Amino acid sequence: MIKVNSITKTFNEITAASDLSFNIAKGEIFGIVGPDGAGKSTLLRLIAGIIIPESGTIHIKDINVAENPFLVKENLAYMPQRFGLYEDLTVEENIYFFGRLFGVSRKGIFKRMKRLYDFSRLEPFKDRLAGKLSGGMKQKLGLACSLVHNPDIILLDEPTNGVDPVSRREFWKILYDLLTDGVTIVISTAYLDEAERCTRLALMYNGSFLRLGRPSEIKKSIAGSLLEISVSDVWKAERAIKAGGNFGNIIREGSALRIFSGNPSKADADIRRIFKNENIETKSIKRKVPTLENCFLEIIHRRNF
Amino acid sequence: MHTPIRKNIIKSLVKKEFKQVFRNKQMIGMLFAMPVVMMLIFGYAVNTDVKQIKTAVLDGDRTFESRKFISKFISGTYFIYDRYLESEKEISYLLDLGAVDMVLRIPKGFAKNVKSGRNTEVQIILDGTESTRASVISSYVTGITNDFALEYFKNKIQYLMISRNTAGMRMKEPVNVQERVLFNPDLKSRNFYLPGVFGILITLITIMLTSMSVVREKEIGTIEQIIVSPIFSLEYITGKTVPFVIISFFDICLVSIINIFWFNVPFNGSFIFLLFASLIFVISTLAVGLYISTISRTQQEAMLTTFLFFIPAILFSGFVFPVYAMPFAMRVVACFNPLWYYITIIRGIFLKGVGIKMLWSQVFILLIFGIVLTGLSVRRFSRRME
Repeated sequence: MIKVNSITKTFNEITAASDLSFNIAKGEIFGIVGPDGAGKSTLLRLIAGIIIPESGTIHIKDINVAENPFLVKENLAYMPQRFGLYEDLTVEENIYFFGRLFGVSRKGIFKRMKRLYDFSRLEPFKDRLAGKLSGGMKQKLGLACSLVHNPDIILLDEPTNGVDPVSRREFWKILYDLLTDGVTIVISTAYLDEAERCTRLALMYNGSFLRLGRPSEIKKSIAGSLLEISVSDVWKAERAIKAGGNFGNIIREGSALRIFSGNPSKADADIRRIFKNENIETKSIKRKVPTLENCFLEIIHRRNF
Repeated sequence: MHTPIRKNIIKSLVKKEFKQVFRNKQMIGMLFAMPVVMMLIFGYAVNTDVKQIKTAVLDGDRTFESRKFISKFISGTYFIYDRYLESEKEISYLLDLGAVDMVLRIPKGFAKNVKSGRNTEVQIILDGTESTRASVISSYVTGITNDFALEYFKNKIQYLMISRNTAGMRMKEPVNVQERVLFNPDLKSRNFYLPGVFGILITLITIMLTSMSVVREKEIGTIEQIIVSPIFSLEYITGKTVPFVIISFFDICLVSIINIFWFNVPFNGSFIFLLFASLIFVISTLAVGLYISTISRTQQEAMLTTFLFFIPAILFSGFVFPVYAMPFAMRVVACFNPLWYYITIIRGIFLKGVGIKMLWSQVFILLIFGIVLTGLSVRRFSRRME
């Protein structure tokens, strides 16, 4: 569906996309995850054809985006972080206008609108001005507006940023519903719990992909297990582990410490010994299944050190 | 690139724009109330006609002749008698205070000199802070004094003739200037300024609104959706400008009605030609508005940039300061000001009643401006959009 071939884009010597190549298949939810400034938005804007890469090509359904932007645009929806709604138009007028913008007929829009209202549950608010909607409803309206023309490919740039957890869950339900219509979704997010719901993921950092694959593959790609160490005095324990040997990145979480280790049994023994020497009471050391978030932080840590 | 213009898309864009305009109270105020208020302000407040000249008199002669001379002044409508002065000391104080515009000083021996036919002098002392007003007053004074002298001599000669029994012979003045002012017979400054205000209003409305409405889409982020949609930049530009052409035409009618029926500014030309010339003119201003929108990121920036263009455009338009009175270099600058041509056209239509036959060169130049400016803006705008 989408073929990206070694694209590069720089802004004032900051590389936002560096030699990226990947394919996205039909029916996927492809997630782009990374911290702020990793280049997620730039990548989506490149795919949408808003900005042109310095080198490399993007093909959507075998059409070159840079050469034939108009052929691609009709099948594409792009929803930026802050969807630009006309706040002085009503919900329905917004949907109608964006439909017309994409060349949908009047009849076509009202037919499609029923479906859009169904999943977004915006129908009761259709005569309300867009500016008077809550943040979550605005995002849903933005999504509805970008879907009036029945696109095959939906590009979403951090759609749930700043949206409350309930609305976020609802939003994802909508996305799964859309998948049953046979669309392809590319979504960027900074929430790793959301990333876990994607079919495939790209971990993006400083303009390049650190990992690319299914969430489970990415978790497996980190050699080692996660140890969760519960102690009486976390501050003292952290200092002791840091001084006592090379245990990699130590993450403090509440009253526990977490480390990744390639050899968990040895690390377990080493840590117990260090704590004994330092007179720190060890409550427990457990092996945990790492979450995507743990893995992501570890991957970035290993890359930096 | 081949860029068709789809009527349906334009229609939706125009409809949307109108909805937005009519839901925005500030917009409505700017579009419909501002022209009316500006017309009223200019119609009533801007008046450079020199009338009601407050005059103080220092009569050093105090004779029948001197009083007759004074009454020549204050019996008309232009001069208002303010007070009699007793001494010269008061003169500068009164002028400093701004209590009077002019002091008329008649020296001792005025009557004697006049009667004996010797050269007589009177003095006027004027407040020259407003130079144009002072020079107009000075010319009034010269006129009245000449009149007085002429009449006096006529009387004297008549008296002589009667005494020599040649009464009945009529006296004629050798050369008599018969003034007849065409196009603005009352020489009302209002008739000169109001058509100019007309041009200024149309300029301001079209430039500011186009630039601000495009920049607003940038501010709220809707422009990104426009960019990802399969819409051609030319369609978007048309959809953005057509509403403001329509609104400016409404304003043209509104302002014309106020001009003609409220302020009785003479309208001697063809209204159709006025609309035609205005259409040609707004092509240029819309293009300038569009250009401003490409270089501004916020509505405030757009507004400031508008005024950066707008104020020189007024100064070089002949609205207040006639272009022919400017030094050569400044006249060259004025040649590149569409507003100058437009105001010339409006004044021509309103006051002279001339049409395309006389004004074709101005219309033609405006057309060229329109084509060049639109070309530049559309190119710059399209490059931004794609």
